[in-house]
Amino acid sequence: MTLTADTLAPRAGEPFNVSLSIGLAERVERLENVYLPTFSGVDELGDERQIARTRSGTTYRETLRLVAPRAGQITVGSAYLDAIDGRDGKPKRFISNTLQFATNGAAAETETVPVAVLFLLLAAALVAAFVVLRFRRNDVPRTGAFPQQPVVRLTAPTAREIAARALQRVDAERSRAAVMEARSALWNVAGGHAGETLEDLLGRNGVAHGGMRRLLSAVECAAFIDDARLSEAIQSIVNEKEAAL
Amino acid sequence: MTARAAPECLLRALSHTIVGQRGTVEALVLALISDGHVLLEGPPGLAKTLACRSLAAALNGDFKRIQFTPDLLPADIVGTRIFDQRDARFSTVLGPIFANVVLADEINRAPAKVQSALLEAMQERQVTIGPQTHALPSPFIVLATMNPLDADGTYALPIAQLDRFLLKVTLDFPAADEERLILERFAVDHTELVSGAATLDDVRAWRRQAREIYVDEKIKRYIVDIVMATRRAGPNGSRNASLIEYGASPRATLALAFVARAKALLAGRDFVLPDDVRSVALLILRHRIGLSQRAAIDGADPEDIVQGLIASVGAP
Repeated sequence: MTLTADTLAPRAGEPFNVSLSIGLAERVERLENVYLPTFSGVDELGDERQIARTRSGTTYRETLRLVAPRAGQITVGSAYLDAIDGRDGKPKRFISNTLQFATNGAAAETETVPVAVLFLLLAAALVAAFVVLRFRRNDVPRTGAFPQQPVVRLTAPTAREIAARALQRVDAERSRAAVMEARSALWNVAGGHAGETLEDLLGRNGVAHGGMRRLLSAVECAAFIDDARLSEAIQSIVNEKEAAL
Repeated sequence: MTARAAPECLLRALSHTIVGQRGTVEALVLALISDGHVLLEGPPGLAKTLACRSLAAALNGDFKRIQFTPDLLPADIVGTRIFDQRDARFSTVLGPIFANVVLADEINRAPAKVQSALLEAMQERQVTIGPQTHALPSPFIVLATMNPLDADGTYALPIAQLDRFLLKVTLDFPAADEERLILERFAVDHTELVSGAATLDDVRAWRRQAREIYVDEKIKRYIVDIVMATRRAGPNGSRNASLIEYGASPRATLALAFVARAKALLAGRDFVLPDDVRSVALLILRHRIGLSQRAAIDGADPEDIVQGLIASVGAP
C-alpha cells in the first residue's frame, strides 16, 4: 500500500497527482474501507479510481489531482485500509507512507511514518481485532481484501523503488499516464528538477550513465510520441528498464 | 524511385566548407526545411556569404547576391519592364530575387522602400511587375546579412519587418582551434564548395515530412507559454517586465512550432521533444522582442533577457 506522486516539487498553481496503490492477492469487485489521506495547503481538483483485476489478484489505484495555491511545504498524510489479513484471518489497519512536498522547487523529501505512531496504531488495531472477534465473530465477512505487501510498511519507499514500481505500471497498463508518472519518478532518481529538459539532465556531469541514459531517452520518447506508436515506445522502455534499475 | 538525401547530408556538406559555426549551418538548414528566411548578424569576415554560397551549391540551386546600398531601387531587386524597340512592346526583365538562394548582403544599407520590396516578396513568394505576377522559384530562401559594427548610414529594419525573418542568427568569432583549421584549409587554396549534397526536390520532400511531424499537446502548451512569457512579467519577477516594451507576435508561436518540427526531422525523429523547442527558441525570439528604454539605460544584454525568459518557462 503505497502513496506516490508524479512530482515532489510541484509549482504553485500547477496541478499534480498523488496516487494511492494497493495490491491485493485476491480478486475483488470493489474495495471498501479505504481512507484517503488528509492534506492541508492544497486544493483537490478531482479524484479517479481504477481497479484492475488480474489472475494473480487485484490492483486498486486512486489518483487525487491536487493543486497548491501558494508556495510552501505541503504534507499529505497516510492513507489507510481496514481489512482482514488473509494470512491470519484478523482484521487489521494497513497504513501507507506519507508524502511531503515543497512547492516552487524547494527541497522535497518523503517522510517516514514515526514508528511510535505506527506502534500505537497497531496496538489499537489489535484491541479492535479482539473486540470484533469476541463480539462479532459470525458477522465478519470473509471476502475481504488481502494485500500482497508486508502488513505495515515502516519506511517510505526509496526513489528507486518508486521508479521501479512506476515502470512495472507502464508495463502493465501501457498508458501515457503511466509513462508520465514513470518519467517523473525516473527524473527523481537521476536528480532532475521540475521544468528541466532531458538535455539539461543528461548534460550535467555524473548524472545518469549507460542504461539509465537510454531508459530516460526511451521514456522521453514515449511521453511525446503520437498515440499510434505509443505501444512501440513503451516496449522500448520495457526493454531498457532491466538494464537501468 | 530514387533514394532521397537526408537533411544531415546537407548539414555535413555545409560543415565541410564552413569551419565551426555549427549553429549557423544548422540554422540555415532548419530555415530551409521550415520554408523561412534567415537574418545573419555578425562582423565582417565570418563566412556569412560563404555559408549562403555553400547552401546554394550543396542544393545545386540558383544563387543570387544583392549588395544593398543607399541608392538601390526596388526594381533592382524584383525586376522591371523595358521597352523593346524592335518588337515595339514591353518585355519583363526579372530581377535577382528570382533564385533559390538569395543573399541580401547588408540589408540595412538600403532605404525602407527597397527593404519593403524584398520583404514583401519574401512573404508573398511572388512579385508583381507591371500587369503580371511572377511566382518565385521553390524552394526560395533569403539570407540577409547585417554588420553590427558600422551603424553609420544604415536604415534600421522595423520590428514588423524583422518579424518576417524566421530566424536571426548572430555570429561570433571562431575559437582558436577553429581559426587554425581555417588557416590550414583555406590559406593555400580557394574554397571548394560541395555541390549536389541534396536536390531541390529533396528540400520539398523534407518540408512535406516536417509538416507531418507530431507535436504533442504538452509541447504546444510549452510553445505558447514561452511566447506568452515575452508578453508579460515572467515568473522570475518584474525585472523583465520593465525591460520589455512588447513581446513576440503569434507569428513567433507558429515559427516555434515549424522550426521545432524541422529540428526533430534533423534529429531523425517524427515527433517533437521539449528540447527541440528550447534549442530553437532563442533563434526565433531574439529579433521579435522590443526592449524598453529602461533596458537601453541599464545596458542590459538583449540576448540575456531573451534567454532568461526562455529559461523561466518550465519544460513539460
